[in-house]
Amino acid sequence: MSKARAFVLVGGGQSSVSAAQTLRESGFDGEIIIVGDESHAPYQRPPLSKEYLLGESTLEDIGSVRPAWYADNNVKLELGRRAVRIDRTSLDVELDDGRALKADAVLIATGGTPRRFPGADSESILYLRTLDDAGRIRRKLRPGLRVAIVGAGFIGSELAACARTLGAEVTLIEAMKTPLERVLGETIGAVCGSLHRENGVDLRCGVFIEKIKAAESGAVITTRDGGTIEADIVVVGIGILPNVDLAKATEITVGNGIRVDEFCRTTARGIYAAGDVANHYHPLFDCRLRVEHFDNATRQGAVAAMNMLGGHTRYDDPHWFWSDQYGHSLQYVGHVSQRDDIVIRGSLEERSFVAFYLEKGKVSAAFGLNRGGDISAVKLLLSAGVTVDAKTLRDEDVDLGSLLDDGAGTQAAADASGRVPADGEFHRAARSGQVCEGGVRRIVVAGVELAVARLNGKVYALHNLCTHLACHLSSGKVQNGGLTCLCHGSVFDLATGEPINPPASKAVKTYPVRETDGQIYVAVK
Amino acid sequence: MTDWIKATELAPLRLRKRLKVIVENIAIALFYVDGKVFALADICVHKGSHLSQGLVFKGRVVCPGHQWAFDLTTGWADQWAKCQPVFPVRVEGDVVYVKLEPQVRTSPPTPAHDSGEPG
Repeated sequence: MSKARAFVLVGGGQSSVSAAQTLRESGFDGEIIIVGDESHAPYQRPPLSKEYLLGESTLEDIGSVRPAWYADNNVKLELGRRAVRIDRTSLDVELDDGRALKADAVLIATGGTPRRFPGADSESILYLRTLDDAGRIRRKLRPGLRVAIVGAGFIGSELAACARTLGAEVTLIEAMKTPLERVLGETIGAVCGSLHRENGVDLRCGVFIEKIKAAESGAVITTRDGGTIEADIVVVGIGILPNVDLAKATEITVGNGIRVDEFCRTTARGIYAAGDVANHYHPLFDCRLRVEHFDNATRQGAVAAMNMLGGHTRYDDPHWFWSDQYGHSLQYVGHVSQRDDIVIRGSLEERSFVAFYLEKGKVSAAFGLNRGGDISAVKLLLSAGVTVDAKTLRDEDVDLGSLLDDGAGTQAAADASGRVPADGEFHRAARSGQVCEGGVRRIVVAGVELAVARLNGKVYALHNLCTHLACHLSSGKVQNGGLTCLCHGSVFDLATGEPINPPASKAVKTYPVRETDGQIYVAVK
Repeated sequence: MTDWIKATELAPLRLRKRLKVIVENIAIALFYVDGKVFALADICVHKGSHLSQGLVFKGRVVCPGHQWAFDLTTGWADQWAKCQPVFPVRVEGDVVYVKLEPQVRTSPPTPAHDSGEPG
């Protein structure tokens, strides 16, 4: 870490900023350069299809950080510039103006570009991805404007909600049977469809589009069944394509985005990827995913930064995203490859429910309509691997959060006993050679996740979750006189677990350790 | 200086762990965690969702709107460097009292600051 003097973050969006924040919070004091091809400093994209489009917020409101943050933290912005290639040996990042930026590690967070409808390019046929795109649409939206939206995914659905709020006449056209069907399935997608219809949107599902053509005053859409839809403007929201040109030019493996492992590493040494562009292996769901949402961009950028610093942090939290439409809160957590079954908690009619998606009998994802509290709980239950039966999921008298409390409470009660363990309570944790001097590793003993470290020959066992924000201490380092959490720099005394450096303020639990005959034993009960 | 005002009996809060109360037209979210009571403004500083419908986890309440997590004692949301107003609260016998003196930090609390005392 001390050797790395310069990091280049390619892509002027949320992932790069999150990475830069993490680097600075971790104490990295070398050079950080963010390269972005837009002329604006990094901003948050979610408001572009919500409050920014409605004119309720400004560029300053939606900046990823406040404008002075870059100067205050010595983070350099190279805006209006594209990186064209990275030298895989030197890691020099070549820019489109011919300059090369020196780097010790590089993050590629280049995002995506809206998928174009073939032949549909004119003043009245628009796409929504950037701040400038949103500005163009925002200037046109007015009461009575005929707006046709192609695609009822998240962008199309939110755009429809905004356009209706501003009094436009909206036709929303979707090829599948319901809005958001690919993510939510037909039953729940239909509920989302009803939100549009009762807010005056002309929603047309199962409609395929043959062509979109500019006309005298606007555009005309021709559907495959021969019908036509006239509009003053057409906005096309049919997904994005990951921006992989830089990766390709650098001969990094791509395939629906840039291929990275759970540590955000690409196939090139020292080059990482995060955000919309990163097709990552996800350990929790044991599959590859490319996720186009804000929370993913933020958290994956942070994990990439920790690993650029020499850490070994997995990106393994369940994905979460939200959408706001017509005053309703839509949230989704997890991932499901195959929806075997759906269990509903609450009422579809009353627009207050959670739909749990089960795969092989286990909850794999959940969608909540106006149920953010429940979704928070599901997120934690998924992370913790807690299995809940369908009857309990349906039972509104059971607070989903309490299912977490139970687990934690049991653990705390066992911990509080304070007894000196008898010989029989020591469990074999590892061979001595597995925990080297100055090293730390994650070891699960009798169901308890530990960070086992060695300093000056002595072995220590601490609970693996940092008491600050539950990062894995096993991804940290034995340094600064204790075990350092690389997320935010908290340091814990190895013997007592007491925090000796903030931000953590609570002790992490420690466990008795014995080392005999080349084996490490830990008493966890 | 304002006075301590009765917010609720303790029993319903202890039962439900979280409770929205209106004290002199101000919506306050009360939380009962491990025998302690916390009071925060109910309307989230971010987008106006109700914290009283949020999940309490590891000393924080997670807003149901967009999952911002606020420290129950200080009101501080680490990830966003924003603060939800917190109210002084005390329990006397079976009654929970609050003071309508909302406190809002402008910088992160230091680890030593965890007392919940005013200032």
